[in-house]
Amino acid sequence: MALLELKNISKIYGDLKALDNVSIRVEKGEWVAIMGPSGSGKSTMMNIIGCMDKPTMGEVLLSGVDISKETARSLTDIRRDKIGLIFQQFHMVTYLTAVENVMVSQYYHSMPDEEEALEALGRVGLRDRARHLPSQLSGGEQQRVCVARALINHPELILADEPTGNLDETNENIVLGLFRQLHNEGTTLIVVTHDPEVAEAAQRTIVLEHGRVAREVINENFGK
Amino acid sequence: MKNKKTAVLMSMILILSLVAAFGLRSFMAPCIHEDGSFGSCHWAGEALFGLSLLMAGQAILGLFLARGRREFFLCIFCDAILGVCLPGLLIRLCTMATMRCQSIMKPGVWVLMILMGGFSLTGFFLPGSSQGKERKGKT
Amino acid sequence: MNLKKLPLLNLKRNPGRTLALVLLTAVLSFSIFGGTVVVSSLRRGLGSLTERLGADIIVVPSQAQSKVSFQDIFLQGTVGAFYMSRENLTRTLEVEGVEKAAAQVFLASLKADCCSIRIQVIGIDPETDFVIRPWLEKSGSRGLKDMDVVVGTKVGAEVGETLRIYEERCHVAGKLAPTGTGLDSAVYCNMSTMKKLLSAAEAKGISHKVSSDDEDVVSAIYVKVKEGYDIGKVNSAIQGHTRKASAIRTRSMITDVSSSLLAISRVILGLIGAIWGMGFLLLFLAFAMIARERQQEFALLRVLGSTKKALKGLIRKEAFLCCLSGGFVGIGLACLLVFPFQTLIEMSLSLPYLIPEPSGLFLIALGALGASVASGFASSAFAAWRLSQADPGRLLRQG
Repeated sequence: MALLELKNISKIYGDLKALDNVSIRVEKGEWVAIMGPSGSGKSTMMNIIGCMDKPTMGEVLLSGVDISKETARSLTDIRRDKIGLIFQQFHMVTYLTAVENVMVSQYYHSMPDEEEALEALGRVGLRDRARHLPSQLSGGEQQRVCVARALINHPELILADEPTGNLDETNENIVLGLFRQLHNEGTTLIVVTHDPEVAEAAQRTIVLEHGRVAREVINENFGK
Repeated sequence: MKNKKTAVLMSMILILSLVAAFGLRSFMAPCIHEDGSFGSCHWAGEALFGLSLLMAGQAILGLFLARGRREFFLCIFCDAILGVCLPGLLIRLCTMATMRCQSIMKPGVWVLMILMGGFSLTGFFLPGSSQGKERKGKT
Repeated sequence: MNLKKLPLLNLKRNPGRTLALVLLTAVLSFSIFGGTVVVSSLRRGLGSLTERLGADIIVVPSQAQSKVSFQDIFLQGTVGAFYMSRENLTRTLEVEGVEKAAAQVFLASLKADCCSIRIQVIGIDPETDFVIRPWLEKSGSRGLKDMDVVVGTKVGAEVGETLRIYEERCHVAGKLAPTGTGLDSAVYCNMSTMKKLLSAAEAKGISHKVSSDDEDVVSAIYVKVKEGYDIGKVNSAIQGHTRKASAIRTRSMITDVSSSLLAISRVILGLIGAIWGMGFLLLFLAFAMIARERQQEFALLRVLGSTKKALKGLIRKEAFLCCLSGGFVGIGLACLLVFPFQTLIEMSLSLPYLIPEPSGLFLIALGALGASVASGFASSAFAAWRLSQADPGRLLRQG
């Protein structure tokens, strides 16, 4: 059974078809990149997969359960329990320290556990920066905190939207290294990106154009 | 940061004590009598003026000697209590509540002393007030 | 970290923003509390004046510029004296419809002991007086012996002390409860003491005689009209029957004060309304700006699993904490001005002014605090609603 399956989904805004009869399948433990030019429907797809929006038509199966008809409240629960989100702009709570930012995610999921949050920060190499506010961290460090926050609740799926879009090469490599590590541990990753280098790091790339799947590319160099 | 907070409090105290000193010589001055004589309220005014200058001096020292700031806050707090007790309780004022010393000087001094007392007490209990310059930069 | 502390952490780690919100609410509670205390004190002062007057008609010498001089003494504590023949008391009692009449004698001291201020001395006849005596009794003063005086609350002499009036030593036997009127600045004695003081004043060259052969004088006669009699008619009858005297209906005096009070109250209430309206608008704008500034933070919390209701609760809690502390600060600052400066306020308003009882003040403070918190809730409600309606996915992608 696939972890995520989109079956003929469409998203229509007035006359505009942001997604047009798209079907994709992501297996458990797979690392998939979604690429496409602006307006190709990447963000709409990210919203639907991330339970932040619902399709106009079609089914979204997460762990075999159709979530396309769920209420906003249920979608919030699903997102909280099963999905870890990473954004291009880092998005941290500005008045909370790095460790507190990670613990916020824990709080909504279960119970805040500072030691576990510090461990998560340790995994991304930021244990010594745990007590710093976002304003005291570099962009790369902030994104690594976001990765720690995304993985703290052991989600079934990590969904990243342009995770390296605002990073320099060094930090991009650090973040991709973390994704590789997560993938090796069996975490399913979906990365939406413009960057061919980031897409090449994934096992498979789905290219969207005009709201449709234009092609799928298997990265033959993956893991080498 | 904590040192900065105590410095701000000390500056507030300095400003208020100078307002008190200036006020006691102008808008908060004790009763002025037609015949040129003065009653006991005059001496209360003089004592309060001296106390205000003392508090201003302590505030200046507290500002520059960060190491002993906590002690200065305590001194200023005691001065403020004295300032509240001085007019009326320790030194008698004129008999009528409608007189200048009772209706302007005393309440004016009370307000300023209560504010200074409040600031000094806050400064005393603020964790940074006991930190001196030698601890700067450790965090 | 506990998420319940999130609002507190936000306020603590954004001190500038928090201070601005607290000060804004402090202005609201300051104006509401301070203004309401002043208006309530004026109303209570009027009530006290009505109660203290206790008479329907007051007869004063015509030379006292009728009620103006009397009103100055009664309301503002102006020191002054005027006299008419005691015969007017007998004449007043003869008028049909007069239930009782009591005379008072005024004397303005030159200088009292220890301070260079003139004091209004009022001599009463404890046997017939029905105006001051109940007040004396209420304040626990046990009669007025010879050379005993009872002082108003604004006279800084304490019980047991001695006041020197025209070189006569008077023993302070009691201190009266505040009335908020000019009576608080006066000293009271019996007629026998007053006679001695008048003689002492005479010796200093201050004459109280209305004519060379009439030494028995009074300054004011308080008249209580029998039930069923028309006060206006009795007033006219007294006016016609007494000599060189004017009869004033106390109601006209109260009406004068009442209309001044109404005008001042309106101005104060108008000011409170204007400040409150302005403050509310500023709070509304502040919360709207904060909501705009924090929309990504809230979108993030939504994405992390917070419900819309929880987010609204977060904003409400922040607004509550800011407004509650602002409310306390405002009330505290108002207390620092309204109470110590009450005499100055009273003197500036020239109206009876009596601070409400502690229970009344507590209720006003509670009301001001409630109004501050309510205005915080109301002004943040729109921001909370707007934030909860925003699309988190779009906001987080926008960056």
